Amino acid sequence: MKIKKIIFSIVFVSLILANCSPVDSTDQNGLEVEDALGRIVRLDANPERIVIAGKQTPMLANFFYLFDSAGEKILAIENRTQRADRFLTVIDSEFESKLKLEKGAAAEQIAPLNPDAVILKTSMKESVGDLLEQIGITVIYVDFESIEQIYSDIRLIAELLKEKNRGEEIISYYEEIYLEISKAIEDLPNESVLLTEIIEDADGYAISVPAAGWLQTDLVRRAEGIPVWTDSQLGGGWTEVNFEQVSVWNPDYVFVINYQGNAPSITEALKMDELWMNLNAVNNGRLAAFPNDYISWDQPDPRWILGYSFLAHRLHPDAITAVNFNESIIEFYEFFYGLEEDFIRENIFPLIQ
Amino acid sequence: MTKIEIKNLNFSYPGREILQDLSFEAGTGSITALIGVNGSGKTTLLLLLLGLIQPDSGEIIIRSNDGESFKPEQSAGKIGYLPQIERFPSDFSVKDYILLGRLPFIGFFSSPTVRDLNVADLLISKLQLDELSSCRLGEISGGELQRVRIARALAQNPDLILLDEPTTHLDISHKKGIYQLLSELRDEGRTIFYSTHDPMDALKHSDNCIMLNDKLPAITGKTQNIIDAKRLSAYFHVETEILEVNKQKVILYK
Amino acid sequence: MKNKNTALLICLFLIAVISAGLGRYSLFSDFAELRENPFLADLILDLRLPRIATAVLAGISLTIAGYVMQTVFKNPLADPGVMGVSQAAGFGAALGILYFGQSPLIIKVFSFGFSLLALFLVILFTSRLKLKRILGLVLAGIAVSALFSAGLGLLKYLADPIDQLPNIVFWLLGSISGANWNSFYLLTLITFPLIIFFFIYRWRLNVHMLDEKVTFSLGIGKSWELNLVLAAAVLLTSAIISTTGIIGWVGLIIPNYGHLIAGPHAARSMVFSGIAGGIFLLICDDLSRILLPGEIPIGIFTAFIGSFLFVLLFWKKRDFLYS
Repeated sequence: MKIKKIIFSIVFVSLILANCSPVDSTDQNGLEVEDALGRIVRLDANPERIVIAGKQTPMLANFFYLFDSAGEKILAIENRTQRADRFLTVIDSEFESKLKLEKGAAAEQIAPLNPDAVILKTSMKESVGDLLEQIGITVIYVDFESIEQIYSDIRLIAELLKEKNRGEEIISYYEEIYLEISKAIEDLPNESVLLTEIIEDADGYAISVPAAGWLQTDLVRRAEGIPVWTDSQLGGGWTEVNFEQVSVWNPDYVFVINYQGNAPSITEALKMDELWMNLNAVNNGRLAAFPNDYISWDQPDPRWILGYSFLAHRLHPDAITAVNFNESIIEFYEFFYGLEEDFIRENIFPLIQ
Repeated sequence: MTKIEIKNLNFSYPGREILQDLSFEAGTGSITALIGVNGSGKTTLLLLLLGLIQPDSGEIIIRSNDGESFKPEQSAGKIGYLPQIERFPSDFSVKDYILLGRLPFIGFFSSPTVRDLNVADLLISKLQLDELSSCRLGEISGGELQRVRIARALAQNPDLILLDEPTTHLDISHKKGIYQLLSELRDEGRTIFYSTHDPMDALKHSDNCIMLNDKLPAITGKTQNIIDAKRLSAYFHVETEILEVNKQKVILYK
Repeated sequence: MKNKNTALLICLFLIAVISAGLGRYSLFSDFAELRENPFLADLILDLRLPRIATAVLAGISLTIAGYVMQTVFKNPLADPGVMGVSQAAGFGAALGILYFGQSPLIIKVFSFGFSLLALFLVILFTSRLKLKRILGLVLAGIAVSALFSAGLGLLKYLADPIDQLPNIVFWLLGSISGANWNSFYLLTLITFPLIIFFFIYRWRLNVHMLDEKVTFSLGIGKSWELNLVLAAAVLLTSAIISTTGIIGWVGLIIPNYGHLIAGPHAARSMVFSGIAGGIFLLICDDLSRILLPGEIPIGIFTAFIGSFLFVLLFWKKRDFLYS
């Protein structure tokens, strides 16, 4: 009896001790990352099953696809809009099959996919992120709304995909191009710019300006332009203004954004509009459509650098010539997505007119 | 100038029989009082006469002097009606309210003409409402309001006037005034039906009477004939005795 | 009464002229500038005038519709949307925004169509269920309104928070920013006949303030007249809502002031109320487009000023409340 008791106690205690061992010791491949909300997220291993959900998934996916291993590791992407996604099928032939997550998917639809990590924009925290974490799914937030944040988020993705080198490569490329352009336009005089989203209304146009804190406003400033709309913020989003206000601003440049891809046709119509013809910008031929090839270049997307390039070229055409500009587009797609020049000229240039 | 014929009228609300096989005739220039306890069907009968509700069986015929006869619901605008409790716009002036009674004579897209205004003025002075003509309905007394409502009904120039408990909340002098007015209208040849919960009113101020009770059959006929102590006791559940004082019949309740 | 109306009409005209001279572009200056600066003239003609005209027309229409509803329902707190019109129109517009690519034509047609559907449903419920006239209409109106409100809530939930939801919200708050001559002409096609109808009908309208039994005795027994009046008021409201979105408070508060100043009888106070409504909405729209660089939804001003006027009304009528 005594011996039994001793053996039993030894076994019992060892079992307890074994289960009390610190978690760290089982965690050899684990990693820690800091996401866009400043949270430290711990993962057991680099995620092999990644889901991208919430708002602006095409743009988030675009950033992921800058990395080679993205195709293998991305499991599903929330299906947001048609136009943007067509581009990714060019990059990843299996892309279509990944769009299995329906729009507005909530925690219940995402969970069955059993992801290692779900990527969301910071604004989706309350509506989707918190709920996912409640059921034990790892959530990582990204933002991309300023240049610093873009670099930081790229590094985050690089770490997740174990492609730190590629991440630095991307950032160096961005920094190089950015430096090139900004140096060339450094001390040039700044003229007033209006970036506006225009939607066709019943027989007129609904004119909106972006929020002061958004990437668009920042890009205009960095392209050595003066955004005229920063005193008209009525909220954190797009603010509608009427044409009279536009004529008060009477900006030197006007760029028309339209996310449905109608910017070129709207711009043409505006050039012939009685009222718009009185604006400086229209008179001097400085009314243009903001390029939109699958994604409008003003968005927080890898193409932000093209948006910047476009603005710099338009605002300072002597410093950044059309040749420079076209070259930068080709370089961008070659470097980032490995596309061939001919392919780029055939498929992308026509879209940006 | 109209005759009212009620023939074998039957009416019941879901689960409750109100009128059974009621027949009655009222001639031109007569006052008929409807008496009975609460719930005996006085208001219902008035609404049937108005044509607002339809009997289950039987009919009501309104016969005019030139031989035409029609049902109450066909005589749009020709029957004057005073509900017991009436929702009225209390901000309206007396004159405006009375003018509304001219509606049957005013076209869909018209407003009152000079003729309509004259009729209103005439009624105002006939019913001694001159001083109140521009007062608001909410500001005048109960008795005055009653005269105003009658004026409104008279503006229709109705041959048949139905009044639901017209004197219930009035003091004695106003009461007398109203009944005097009804007599005058009767003398003009109009047919009048009114309901009251006081059999004394019927005794003093009516030619005919319809006595109603939810359990007993309706009694109709000339007031002098049908109001007696025995019937009153049965129909009103109160012991009564009728005396004659100074040539006037008086009802005593024991 | 004639004097009051004329005075108010002159007031409206003056305010309209002043409004034409006001805008983000420039404050009122003399006519010489107009000749020198054709652009300003274009602005006024093509941008400001149609907007002023639409605001005035919307103000008049919504006020008259509200006036009629308050009279028919014998309720000074009724507003044009009491039969579910507003919620149904909002639902229709949200449908257009969500599933038809925000096509402006569809939004207009749907919001108009659905508010007529609401009217149809209300009348259907009332007649099928054999409800007592006015009470029945009120109850059916509440039910239909709740139905479309729930539907609208669902659509708001399904809407994309970036492209769609803000548009729905903006629409629900009302805005005259999209006004132009074409939309104004279209609006007049529907609203002018209805306004004229109510103008001619204005004496008879008051009959609906009487007890239902009394109106029956006066010859308005068939419900078709009541239905016609209601349908006309709903049509008037829907036409405006489908163009400007839901603008609240005008139809509620202005008729009450019309009564206060010009008396209880529609023959005298409906016209007054209508003109006052036009002035009220014009001022609100001026504020919407001039106060800040960005467009402020007009519903915010009508609610703000309207609620203030509402409290003032109670203060003026306090004797009535305490009695």
